[in-house]
Amino acid sequence: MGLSVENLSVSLAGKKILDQVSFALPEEGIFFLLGPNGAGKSTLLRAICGLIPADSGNICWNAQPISKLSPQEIAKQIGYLPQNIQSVEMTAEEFAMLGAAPYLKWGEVPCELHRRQAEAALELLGISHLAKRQLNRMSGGERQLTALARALVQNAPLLLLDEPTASLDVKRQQDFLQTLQKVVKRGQKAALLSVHDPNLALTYGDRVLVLRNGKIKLLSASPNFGEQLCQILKPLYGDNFTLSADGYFYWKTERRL
Amino acid sequence: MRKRFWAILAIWAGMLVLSACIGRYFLSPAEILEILLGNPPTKTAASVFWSIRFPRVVLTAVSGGALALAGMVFQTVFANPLVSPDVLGVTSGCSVGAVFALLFLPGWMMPFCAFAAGIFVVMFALWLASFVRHNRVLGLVLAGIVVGSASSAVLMLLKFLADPERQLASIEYWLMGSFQNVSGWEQTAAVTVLTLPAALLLYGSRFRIKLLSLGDEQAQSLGIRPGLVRLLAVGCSTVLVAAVVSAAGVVSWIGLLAPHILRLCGEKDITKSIGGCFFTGGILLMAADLCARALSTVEIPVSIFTSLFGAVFLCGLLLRTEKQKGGQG
Repeated sequence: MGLSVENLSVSLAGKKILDQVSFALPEEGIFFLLGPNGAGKSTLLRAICGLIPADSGNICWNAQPISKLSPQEIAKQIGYLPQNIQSVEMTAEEFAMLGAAPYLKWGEVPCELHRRQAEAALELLGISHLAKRQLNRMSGGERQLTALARALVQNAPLLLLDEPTASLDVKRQQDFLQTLQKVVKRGQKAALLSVHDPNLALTYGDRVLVLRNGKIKLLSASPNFGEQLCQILKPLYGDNFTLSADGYFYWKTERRL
Repeated sequence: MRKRFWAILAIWAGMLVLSACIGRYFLSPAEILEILLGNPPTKTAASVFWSIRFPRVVLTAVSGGALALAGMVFQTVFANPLVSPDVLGVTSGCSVGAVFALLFLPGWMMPFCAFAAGIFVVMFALWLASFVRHNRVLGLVLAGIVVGSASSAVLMLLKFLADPERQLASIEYWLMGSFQNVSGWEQTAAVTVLTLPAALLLYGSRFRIKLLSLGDEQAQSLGIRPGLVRLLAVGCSTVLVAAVVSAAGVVSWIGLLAPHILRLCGEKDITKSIGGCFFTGGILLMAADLCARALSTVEIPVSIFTSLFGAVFLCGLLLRTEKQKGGQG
């Protein structure tokens, strides 16, 4: 059970992005997806939630093949947050209420219950004060948090987040991931995040996936997690990429001061 | 929001009564009430009301609502408040059909030709847009420009072929839009029958249409099929516009004005303001038609007034925006 990807190949504009990728993740936990720019992280996340078709392979969530589900059924199982949240003329509360979409029949619109769910999600993420603010007047980081609130209203057991920390400051990154940890534990959810900072993966990840040249490597948290990850990442980032004695990744470079 | 809707509905009802009263043959509200209760003051009054005035007022109310609804849907689908229902070339397509019928076919075929040509042009635009896969909205806009331009070329050719003494004037008059030829219930019934199912479909799909403004990927990740919803939204809006244009000619600006008036009142959400938008469009077109038939002894084309309303409104909007910016600076 959980997420299982078998021999997944995806091409975009004739170029093979993912080549026979296989991995499995459990139903609960935070999982990180690392890889250099252009490695196919976003493509993998989009393929998992059925936004782009696969050339071949199987993707199953809790033994249900994703390709056999309608978009509405997928949305009940998988909440997807893209890298850039489009700026639209809506308040944060209205935007979060859109998470009710998979549960609404034709002709229905979100109601008071969904407004309360949105309020609760915004409060959980510590952004209640933004509830009435227009999305197009928010910073990128605030928009990401609002989008996470929408995913909470969507109440899907699997969350796919494409570089959610990219536009957050260092403090906000930690806050975001700690909140996500709470959400995942409380709702018994699984969250797969693509990030660039391996330290975040090392600190918060239950498992880490590294994507390179269309192939994937999976690592589980263990006592020598950092060293194993460093061995995998070194060929991608070069010899200057190092793990410190106290277990943090850093970049060896000459300091000016 | 609810209060605002009832206020719009009250203005709409007031405008309906005013439009039914005013005309070359004045009918007082009391006379109208007597006619409605089956006790008309004179036979002429009853005849004017049932055969001329009321069908025309109902048609303008429905047409205005249909154009406004189409405008609001297009602006939401394309996530652009400056888009009008004509973005896919429906009005220019209808114009080609109508002018072709004026020149070469019996007069009664004109509405059918206009409607068929409008639908054909939009279908062609949708087919053309399907080749642009990476950005579907851009594809639709580009396809609209292509078919709009081709339709304008055909329209100019037809005008060139028209007899300048007998036909050109009626073509130009038709292109300015008018409800002058409405008599009896045939046209009103035809437009209502076409408009009602399309409007109901759009009303039922309003939340899904709203999701389209997030972009295709976001909309799909929330459980809808964006291509299907867009096709439904664009198809129904096209039917609305084509039905109006085939009955009254080119009626400009209502599709852009009505949603903007609601936006100014703070109603930006299609799920909350779709009903208000329909009635606002009705108010605007009834007002324009009232001016068209009451301000002069000869009937003035209705688009002159709708364009004038548009210009005044945009001018006001421009000055307001500038004032607000000045205040901030």
